[in-house]
Amino acid sequence: MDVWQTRMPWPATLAMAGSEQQDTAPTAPDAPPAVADLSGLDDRALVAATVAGDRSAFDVLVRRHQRAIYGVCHRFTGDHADASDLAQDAFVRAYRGLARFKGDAAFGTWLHRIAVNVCLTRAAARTPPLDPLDPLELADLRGERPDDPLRRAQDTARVKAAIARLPRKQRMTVILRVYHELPHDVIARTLGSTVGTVKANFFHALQNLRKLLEERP
Amino acid sequence: MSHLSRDERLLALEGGLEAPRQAHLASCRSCRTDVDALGRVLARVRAVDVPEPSPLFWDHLAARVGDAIAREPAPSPDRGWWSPRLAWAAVAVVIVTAGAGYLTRSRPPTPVVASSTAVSGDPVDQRRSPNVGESGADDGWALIAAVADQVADQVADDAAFAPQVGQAELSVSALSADERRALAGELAAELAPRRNREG
Repeated sequence: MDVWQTRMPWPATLAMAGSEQQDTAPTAPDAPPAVADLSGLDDRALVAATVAGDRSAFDVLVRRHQRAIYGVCHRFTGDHADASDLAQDAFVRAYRGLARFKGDAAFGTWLHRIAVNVCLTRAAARTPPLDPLDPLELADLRGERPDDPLRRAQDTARVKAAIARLPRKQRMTVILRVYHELPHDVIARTLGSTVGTVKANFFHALQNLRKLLEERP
Repeated sequence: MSHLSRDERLLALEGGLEAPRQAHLASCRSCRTDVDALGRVLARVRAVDVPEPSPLFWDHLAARVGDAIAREPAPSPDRGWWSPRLAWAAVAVVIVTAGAGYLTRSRPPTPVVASSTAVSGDPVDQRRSPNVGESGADDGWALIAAVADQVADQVADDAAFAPQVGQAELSVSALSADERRALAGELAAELAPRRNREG
């Protein structure tokens, strides 16, 4: 089953931020590996190969992490085209700063931190959507069957619209906590914040969503 | 017994609330109503899925990234944030900015005169070379201009920073000849060890 058909799990490496554990087991050989062998290398070896001048090693990193990075961006923007642009931007910024990746945290954690910053920066540069929710999204569907596909689709659209109206840090906290199931302390490191702030943001986000979803035209 | 705090309500939602507080939650209608309502919101948020893009999309995205990084210089350890080159550039920025700020505070700005490079008609050149005509054969000014020009490009390139063109040069353009000589002396003293090492 594809991870995106259910929920995007946070990569195992991210839950182990700061540890030495890697995404994949094989170790880097002494000599530069052939292109065909790159996919078997762990992230750290691929980073080293990229910094040594092998751009195809970075392609392997992109293919390994693009679903998760795109997922963060899509959850944040709610738009495929925007998410594609932001994901590309995150990878390019990671490439530019690859020499600064010291391996203190897992590569996935570092990459996600960049993606989160790209999303937050983009959101800060844009006017947040202030249009009222679509009347269709606000339709009172309480009398309909909960398993009705139309009702589910409308409820999904309504919840997405409500999430999009959250302040950007609250929105990102909800994404990282709910969809990526990150612990509060990892979210704090990713957002450059504190655990207390993350908890407060998450709680206020839920309260705001409650108000938004209870709104009636 | 007091109502659940914010953190305790989060614990009630996500699991981990201690037994005494669980007992309060079970007996307090106000807390239970609030936690239940937030729990329903959380369940609705969790139910939202991201549509799976086309299978071809992942190759497309990887190709886009590949095209973009093909235009980038290779990531070199020398391009690290604390590389010696950038560290020296940062030192020069601090010196130029602090010196210009301190010295210009005590006198009005010098009127800008036409520069020799402005004859070219290039508006960028005109902005990047203020007051060059005034400096004449002043070696100190030449050093300041050279460092300021170098700093702006390095910082922009290495730190993805986008200062306005000629910003650093404009900062020092208001200095008098004596002030420029003093600032140039400071710069030369700072840069001398590095140049000696490189030389």
